[in-house]
Amino acid sequence: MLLLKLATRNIFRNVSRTVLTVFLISTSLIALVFMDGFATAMASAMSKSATRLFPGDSQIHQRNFLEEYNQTKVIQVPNIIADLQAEELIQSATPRTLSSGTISSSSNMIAAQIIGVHSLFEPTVSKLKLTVIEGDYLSEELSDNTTGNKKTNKHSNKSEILIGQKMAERLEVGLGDRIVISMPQADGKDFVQELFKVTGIFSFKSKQMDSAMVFIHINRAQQMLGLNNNTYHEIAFNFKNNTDATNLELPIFAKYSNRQIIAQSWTQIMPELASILELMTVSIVAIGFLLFILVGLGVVNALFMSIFERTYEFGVCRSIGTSARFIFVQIMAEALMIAMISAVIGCFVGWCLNYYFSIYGIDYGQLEMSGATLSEPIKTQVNLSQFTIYPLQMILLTLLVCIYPAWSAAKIQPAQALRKSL
Amino acid sequence: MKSDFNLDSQSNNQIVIQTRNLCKTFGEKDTLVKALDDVSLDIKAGEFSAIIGPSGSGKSTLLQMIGGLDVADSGEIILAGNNIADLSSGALTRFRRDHIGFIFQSYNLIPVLSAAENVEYIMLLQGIEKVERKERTFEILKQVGLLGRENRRPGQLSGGQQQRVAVARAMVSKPDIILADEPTANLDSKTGIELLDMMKELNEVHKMTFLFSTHDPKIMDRATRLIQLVDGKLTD
Ligand SMILES: Nc1ncnc2c1ncn2[C@@H]1O[C@H](COP(=O)(O)OP(=O)(O)OP(=O)(O)O)[C@@H](O)[C@H]1O
Ligand SMILES: [Mg+2]
Repeated sequence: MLLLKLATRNIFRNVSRTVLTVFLISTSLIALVFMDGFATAMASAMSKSATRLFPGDSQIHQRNFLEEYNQTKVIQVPNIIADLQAEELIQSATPRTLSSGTISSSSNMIAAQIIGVHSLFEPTVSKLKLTVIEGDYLSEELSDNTTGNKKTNKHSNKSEILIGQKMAERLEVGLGDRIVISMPQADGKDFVQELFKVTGIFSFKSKQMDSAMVFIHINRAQQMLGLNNNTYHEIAFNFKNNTDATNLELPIFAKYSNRQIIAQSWTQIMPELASILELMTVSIVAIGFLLFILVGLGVVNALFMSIFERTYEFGVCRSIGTSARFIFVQIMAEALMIAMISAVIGCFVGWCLNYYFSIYGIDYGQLEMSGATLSEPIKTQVNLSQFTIYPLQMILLTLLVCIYPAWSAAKIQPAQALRKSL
Repeated sequence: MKSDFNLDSQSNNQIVIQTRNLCKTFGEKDTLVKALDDVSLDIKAGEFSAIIGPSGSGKSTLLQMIGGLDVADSGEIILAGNNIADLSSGALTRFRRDHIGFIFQSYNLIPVLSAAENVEYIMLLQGIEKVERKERTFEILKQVGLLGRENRRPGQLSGGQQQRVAVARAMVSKPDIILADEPTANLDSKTGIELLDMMKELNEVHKMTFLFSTHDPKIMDRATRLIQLVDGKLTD
């Protein structure tokens, strides 16, 4: 009680100094809380836009497929798509074939990646359907890939192809124009050449994707490549909660990996993006560390000033029988109080900021970064840890740095202190 | 509270303060000052003695040594049979809290506490119960004539009133010895004499031993005994 009374009254003794100290601590806390909210949101937006645009949160391939791009390395697991789609944590899954070839029009020829997609499942994983800016998306599958029932009736549908905006410009083609895909079969023995009719033009707003990717029906692709109906090069799937994708501990990854195939998170498939995001986390920690140092110095300075001014007073207190420990605890109580006031203010303002921007977002315009395009305003994330861990760290830090000044105050020699101001 | 020290200074004529060949120097070589030079002194229980001497003669140093605020270079200080050199620093702090009252020239009080709270302070450290604390605070503030001003902060009290609070605080825990270093130096002589008369009265009522230092000849008259220091040496 006495301690509390002394501590509260003492911190309000020099109001401007206390206000400044509180301002310093709480501003740093606000900065930390806001940066955290912003960076978490930014990282999640970046990874989401990168993965959900086309690749998917996670992918399954035959082992070494990505490294070797050997098209005989197919996934051949019965019912794997249906199984994935039935998983608790998984939102959607879609099969793909991946191959390289050339696309030629009457005026030009371009190397391209030819991707066979399932017209129904693909939109559940990627934004392909939404990026079609001219014409139509692929029509419904002719044969159900997951069951392998072949219904080869209307041949015309099978020649549907989606090409990127940049590619259309370079091939000088438009909707309805004919183009030819030439590519080797999967085993490399034969070479196929088939005619397609441009049904849609897409724009991912990525130069590379828009100039070098084409999409056709997966069963057509399988035919051309000489693959069975139930074999794919890639299965892309999304989690219901996109942050699950980074949790490699999840049993899903092990379940869909064996000696032949491997399920990987986007962090493994796109390590550059993962490392950029990691860098963001590291820079937050670094800035946080710098802030802590600044706060530490500021608080120690303020406390030393206040102790220095009270040297004589401490001398008197010690003379009349106050123990060194009591003085120490008294200073620590003052520091704790300042830290707690700052924590409350910091949390409140930080919460307001994060909450405001979690609703209205921070508009970044268009930002393309390592395959991730941020086109929507970033909505800061508000989470509990911002208001528990950070303030707690601030309070602990304040107490930690105040041990030294408090200890110096406790060590004041009464005889010397009494001479000081006399 | 006081059981850990064998003090029984209640009987008169017993020596409560005893210094033996006390020496204290400050500084080195050129700046060496002999603040206390072989001071041997006996103070009996209930005395109201004044240490007098010119500025720099060692009065404050002597009082601080006796109060255990500083350590002597050589010599002994025995307070009611306890050689204070034998006490650990924690024990010395408790000894001061329970057996010695200090009054300084000025700024004796904790500025953030009211007059009553300043008086209560030591009793709080001693762990005395609230009812008794309040009772004793009220009683002593009445004796020093500060009733009605007990809730004022030191800044709202005159210098004389502040010194009265300091006296009240020094006496409230019923110490055996009260050490006062020029308690009246910052007061005008009328107020100073009033304060000293009050101290004298309390000394007579409570039979506490008072040892104070002063410059003021008018105040010396009130003392039952004068101890003169010149350049750290006792003279008669
Ligand atoms: N910590 C110290 N360092 C150096 N010299 C000191 C110290 N304390 C006291 N002195 C010296 O010791 C001598 C005695 O000082 P002291 O304060 O005891 O004198 P005093 O009689 O109380 O004087 P005053 O009447 O001015 O208060 C002085 O010469 C002083 O300068
Ligand atoms: Mg002095």
